[in-house]
Amino acid sequence: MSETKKRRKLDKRPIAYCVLSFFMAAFLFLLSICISLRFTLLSNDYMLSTMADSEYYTQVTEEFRQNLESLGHASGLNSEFTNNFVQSMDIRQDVIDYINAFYTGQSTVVNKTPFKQKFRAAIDQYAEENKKEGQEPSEKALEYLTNEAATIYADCIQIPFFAVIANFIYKLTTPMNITIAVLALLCAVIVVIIYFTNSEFRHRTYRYLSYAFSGAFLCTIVLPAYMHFSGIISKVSINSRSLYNLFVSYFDGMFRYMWIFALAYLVLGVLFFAAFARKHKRLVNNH
Amino acid sequence: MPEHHHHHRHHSSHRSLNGKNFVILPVVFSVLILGICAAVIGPTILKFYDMADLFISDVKLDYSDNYRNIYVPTSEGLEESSETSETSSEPKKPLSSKTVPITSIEYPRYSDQFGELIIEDCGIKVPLFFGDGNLQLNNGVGIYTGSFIPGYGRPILVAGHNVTYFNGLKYAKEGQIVLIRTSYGNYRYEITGVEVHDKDDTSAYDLGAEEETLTMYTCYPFDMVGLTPYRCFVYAKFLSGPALDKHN
Repeated sequence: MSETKKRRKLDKRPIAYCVLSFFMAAFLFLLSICISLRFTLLSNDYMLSTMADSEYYTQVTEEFRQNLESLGHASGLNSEFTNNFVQSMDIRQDVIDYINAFYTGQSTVVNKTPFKQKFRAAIDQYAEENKKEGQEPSEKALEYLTNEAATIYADCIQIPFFAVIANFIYKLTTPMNITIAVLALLCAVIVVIIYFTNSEFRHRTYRYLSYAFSGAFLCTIVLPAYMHFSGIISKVSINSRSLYNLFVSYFDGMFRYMWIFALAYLVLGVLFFAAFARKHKRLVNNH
Repeated sequence: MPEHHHHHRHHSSHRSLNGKNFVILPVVFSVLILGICAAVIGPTILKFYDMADLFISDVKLDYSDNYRNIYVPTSEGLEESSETSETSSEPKKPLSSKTVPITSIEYPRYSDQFGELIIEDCGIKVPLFFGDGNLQLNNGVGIYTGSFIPGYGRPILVAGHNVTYFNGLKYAKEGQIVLIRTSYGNYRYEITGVEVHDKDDTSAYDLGAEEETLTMYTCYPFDMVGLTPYRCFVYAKFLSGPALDKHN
């Protein structure tokens, strides 16, 4: 190879490494998003643990009690009846079954029949015990009340918009796993290329890895930082307190993953810069 | 010579740390990556971003079960109320020509208790809320926020539960007096009729009317276990009370 060609090839090497660093930053950024989604949106364990942490079950049961009490006050039922009835319901288990059904691709329609049977038996007994002359309840009125109560119950179990994305979530899990594996592999390949083609001057390896991790840090931090400082998540307008707390906890957790990734990228970027500076100094001193 | 030249090149490149590249290049990378992402998924995200306005409020919502009570009883106008009450069967004119600048009152926010509703003949004396959600109806009766507050000169629609606060409406009869007390004045209305309508019957009331009327409603029938689509509507006409001056 002539001297000129050799020099030209050597001149192009930094540009090629910068391009590799750029791609690695992009892959690391995408990897952080994919892993955050995989362990939050696409995980029923995450949903269930967020529900437990945000006291969703307690709050949704209280909302169900309030709604049923309100219905009772329009239907001849006193507060004692509705409170006792709610205590006998296991809303927690029904919510868990509903969430698990989503993530396993089963039917997500709440089965109201067991609730209706239980509620109807309870109001029949209540009507019998509180019977007033000339005020016998009509079958139609009791059925209408049971159906309304069952609707309130189903509304408490269901999570709005979740049904819309359920199918999407179920279908996305496997492709997401593959995407994560491919992105991790691509990052590994770039690291190997940068590492082994700079064995003579190791500081360059650290330089380009520092570029990649620092770039990934800047990309990854933008979204969680915007969400945090704008406070947009906490201003979401949801009428139900239980759903609001679940929503806020859910997205806080999701962005927490991104904060962790951003922090890890920053630390790695700084460490590689420090390693570069150390090697560089030693090299300059040797010369 | 080439050996020497090669050494020289590396030597010169090692002299400076060139630290600014460690800032500039990551910034350039991130701008490019985020720019590409924005170009690829931006149009889709923008559709949802526009929709997000519907779900984001200006302030964080208050989910507490407590409500604000802004009601401070005033006796102004009560004397003339009792006078008229005794002669309620006679044709009536608004007895109070007084106006209250709307800017001088504390306009109720959703869920505030801002007054009380009294129908002595029916044994009703209950807190009056602005809003008719569960919280309000479990603590009193509530004005539908799509209607108006007393003194505004437009229809008022009040809801209550038939087991609790509006159970007394079963005794409502034409000619009975309804008193609504607020911090900015006392308002009197006279019941003109009681009717039962389906809950979806929009002819049961007219919120677009240009006169002040009071419509109270609750579930029907009373004192029976069960739910029906029927509602008991009690209609009342305005008798007296200070008008709210909307221009001041």
